[in-house]
Amino acid sequence: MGWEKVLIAFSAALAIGIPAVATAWAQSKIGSAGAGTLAEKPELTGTIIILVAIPETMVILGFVVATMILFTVK
Amino acid sequence: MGITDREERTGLRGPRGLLLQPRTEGYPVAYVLTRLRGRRSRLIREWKALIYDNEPAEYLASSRYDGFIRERTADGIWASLAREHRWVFTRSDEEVRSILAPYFLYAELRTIVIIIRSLSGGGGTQPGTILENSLLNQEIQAALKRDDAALVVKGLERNFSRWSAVFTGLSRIYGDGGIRELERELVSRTFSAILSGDLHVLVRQLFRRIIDSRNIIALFKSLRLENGTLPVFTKGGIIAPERLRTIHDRGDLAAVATLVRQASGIAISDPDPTKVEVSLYRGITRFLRQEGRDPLGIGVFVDYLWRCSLEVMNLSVVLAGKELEREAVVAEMVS
Amino acid sequence: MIVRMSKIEVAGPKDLLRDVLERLRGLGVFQVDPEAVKIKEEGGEEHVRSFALDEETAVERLFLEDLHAKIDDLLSSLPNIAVRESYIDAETVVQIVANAVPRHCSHSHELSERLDVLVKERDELDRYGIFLGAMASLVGSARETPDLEFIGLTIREPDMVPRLRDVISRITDWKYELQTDTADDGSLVGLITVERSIADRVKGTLHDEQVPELTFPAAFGSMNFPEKIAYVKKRVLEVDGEIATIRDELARFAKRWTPLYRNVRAWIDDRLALLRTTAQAFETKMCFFIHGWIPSRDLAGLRSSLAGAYGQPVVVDELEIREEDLERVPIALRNPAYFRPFEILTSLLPLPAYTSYDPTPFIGIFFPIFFGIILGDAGYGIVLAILAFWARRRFRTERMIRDGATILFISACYALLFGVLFGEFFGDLPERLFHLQPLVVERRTAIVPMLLFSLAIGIGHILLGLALGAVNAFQRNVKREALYKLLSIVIIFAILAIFASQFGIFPSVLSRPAILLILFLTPLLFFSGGVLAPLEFLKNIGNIISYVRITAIGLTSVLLAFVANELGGLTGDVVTGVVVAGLIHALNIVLGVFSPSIHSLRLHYVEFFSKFIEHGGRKYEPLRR
Repeated sequence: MGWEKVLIAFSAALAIGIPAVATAWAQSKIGSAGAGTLAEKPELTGTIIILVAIPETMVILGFVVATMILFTVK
Repeated sequence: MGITDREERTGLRGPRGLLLQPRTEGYPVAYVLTRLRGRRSRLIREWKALIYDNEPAEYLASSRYDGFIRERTADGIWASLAREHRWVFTRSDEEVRSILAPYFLYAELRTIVIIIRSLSGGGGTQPGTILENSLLNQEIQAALKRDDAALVVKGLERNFSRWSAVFTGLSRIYGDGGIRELERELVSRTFSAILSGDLHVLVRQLFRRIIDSRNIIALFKSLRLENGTLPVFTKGGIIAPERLRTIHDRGDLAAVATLVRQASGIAISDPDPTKVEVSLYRGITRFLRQEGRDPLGIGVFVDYLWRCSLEVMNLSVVLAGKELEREAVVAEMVS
Repeated sequence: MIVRMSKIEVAGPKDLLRDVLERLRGLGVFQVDPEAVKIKEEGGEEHVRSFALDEETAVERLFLEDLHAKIDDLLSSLPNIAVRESYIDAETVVQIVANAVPRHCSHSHELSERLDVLVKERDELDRYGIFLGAMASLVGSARETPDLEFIGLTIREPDMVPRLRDVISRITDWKYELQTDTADDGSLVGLITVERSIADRVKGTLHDEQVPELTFPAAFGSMNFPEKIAYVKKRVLEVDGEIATIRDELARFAKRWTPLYRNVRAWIDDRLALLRTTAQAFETKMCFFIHGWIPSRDLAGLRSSLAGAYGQPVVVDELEIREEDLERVPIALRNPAYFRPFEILTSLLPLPAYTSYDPTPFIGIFFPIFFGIILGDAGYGIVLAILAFWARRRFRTERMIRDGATILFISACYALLFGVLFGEFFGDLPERLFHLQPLVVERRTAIVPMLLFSLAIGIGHILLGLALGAVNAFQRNVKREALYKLLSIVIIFAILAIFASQFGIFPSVLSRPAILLILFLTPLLFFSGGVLAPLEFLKNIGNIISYVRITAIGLTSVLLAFVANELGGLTGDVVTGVVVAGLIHALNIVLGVFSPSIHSLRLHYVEFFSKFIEHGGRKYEPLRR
């Protein structure tokens, strides 16, 4: 048990944590804009769902990187 | 006491202090922005088609029109604008509210003037109905509900003086010069108080352009009437009052065209009344369209509010001009 | 599937137009589209024109529109109460109704106006009541004498009081009394007692200070306080009585007439719709033409129906669908029973173009599978399947809920299937209790294999999307787009080959030709997809990686279930353990409905459909009764 393990865990945490915060921020903005759009044009529901979902890819990529750090860096 | 306490409590200063404190805190800017874009898309774009095709009043009532104007009378249109202003104001967050406060206050001057006019002229619009959607704060509204013009002006002076010292003496002006003098002073002092404050860069630009337009139109009217009296020019515009005064002294009607081009970027061949006004307003629209591009900024707000006021101006022309030649009405449309 | 449509022209003698339209509406399959034909191009414009209403019809239309507006006006002024339906034949009573409407309108308006006045008065009485209530205590301590005057105030800000005292004492030379009390509604009321002689001056000052004096209406006259209180109480009762009477009257009126008016209004709507459609027909001197769309398989039915009714004179022609018509073809989706519930998921998207695919079957196939892989727990699957089954039976009549429940049921079955494969039943219970090993893989520990598995799903899904897109582009004769999609497929395979040879699955010599292939194809990519093509291509890679969410979201669900069992086990007591674990599992099930649905939907909407579905179809809205 060395500092190395701590560092690896910490890096993995950062790799998923930062994109998670970024995703949340982006979704909050898109979400409130989307709510505004829906109030004006309800027929755009599908488009809004897609737009709100798009930033999620960031956190998924973060997850991939985090797992790569945890499982491949030994 | 009164507003001073409230100011300290809510921290609302400057022109914002003269406006309402709605119960809601407003919505996220991104939300309001998309709603404004949606609403902007429903403003009338095809003025020509509207005028040539139909009975305009019927068009407003029909399901094809989906904009913010819900009434068809001249007063009703303005009431709709007031409601729309209120809508934007209450949905904006506090930061946006204070940035836009000067604009809303400027729009409310019309309310104030109408009430004082009806009091001094006797009768006219009921303050109650016109104040229904007003954004002025409770104290000012209470002052405006008095039944004596002098008392109203006194109340206004007291309230406005808390914002800026330039408003002291309004009562005296009303006593000496009557309603016309008061109106002019109220407007020009409001402009100077607004411009001396801390302003968002776009709002400042807008006001400078509005002042320019007003000055040029005043100059032009005075020149055309050839009555020789020098209009009082409001300071703060891009074009210096001295220059306007020189043109007035020379009686140089042709120079107005140059001024219009300079202020609006639109060249007009010969200055005639509608062209001057329409070009100046078009200039502002064009400016706002360019500046309003920033998708997350205050530009969208200002642009939308300006478009709404144009819609109302245009529709009043259309409705008032039912009997006129359609060509003449088209010439007066600003877009 | 997108329903195949035929473009048809119905022609016949002019006097049959109304009748034919009525019949078409009865069939409910024909969509009028006057722009489906470009008569001008055919050079016949001088003979053919839009159908002009004869004078009689125009008058009828105006009459009906006017009557409709009046009925709307009347109904809006009546209370909205539940009423029986009227079965009177509306057509026979229209004229009678038209005569009665103005009278009924003015009657109901009169009632509503009186009601408004009374309600307003009631509000005011409330206000006075509150004020007088607070005042009563104050007045009690002040003697009632003729030379004293009481001035009532409402004080908005408590801080005003000292200032008021100050001002009034100056005017009255300290001969006054100011008492304040809090009224029932929390506002502050004040009572000033002064000599009558200086009362007016005090009132003037209050006016200047903007402290509103509470004035009573004339009806209160010169009553003293106790009398006023009694009067308010009496008046409240009276007004309440009157309000109730008028409301009753309105309700009675509404109950009696609303059914008839609703019936007539519905008939007018129907009639107007027919009249409006006539305006969409064309006419020559003798004949009418109507153009529009009909599902190809309903064409024969339409033909025989019209032939049966009119014989020779009315002709139905099928016209050729030209390329420029393709944008105008109305879109109707018709799917086999299994896929139909999934239409609620496609309805969130804009309609597909006529030449594109209906997304419903794709969602119907893949959505439940993705859902199952993400949730992947037999226990949860069973719970959700039971819930869905119950909801389906309970809300049989509500389409949205019923379809949603059906989708959930299918998805839950897949969750059960994958739960068996992953060896999960309420988390790791099988292993914990019976030491059963998962059939295929244990998701909690085998993270990297699961990652690769979800990537494989992504590759498959995206390649399928690209292939469908390429086929569709070929059919639409957009060769470049087809080429671009094919190139993308080849490059993805090449990249796969490179990775495979890196990890030793393929011989490593293979990576060099794969790289060369990519380099060779890149210029073609530019050619077929434009300057941004490589960037666009990278989006495909991003999309594939996005499928990792299948593993990621699944993992959270597995771990939460694991935690539930772990905590339950820690309690050391069966009952508490089951309760604790049960609560967490319940939470996990709720999450297990939402996140798998949202994420697998998103994989369809964003990643999959963007590869091959073109949106922008017009909705199919046939003439209907």
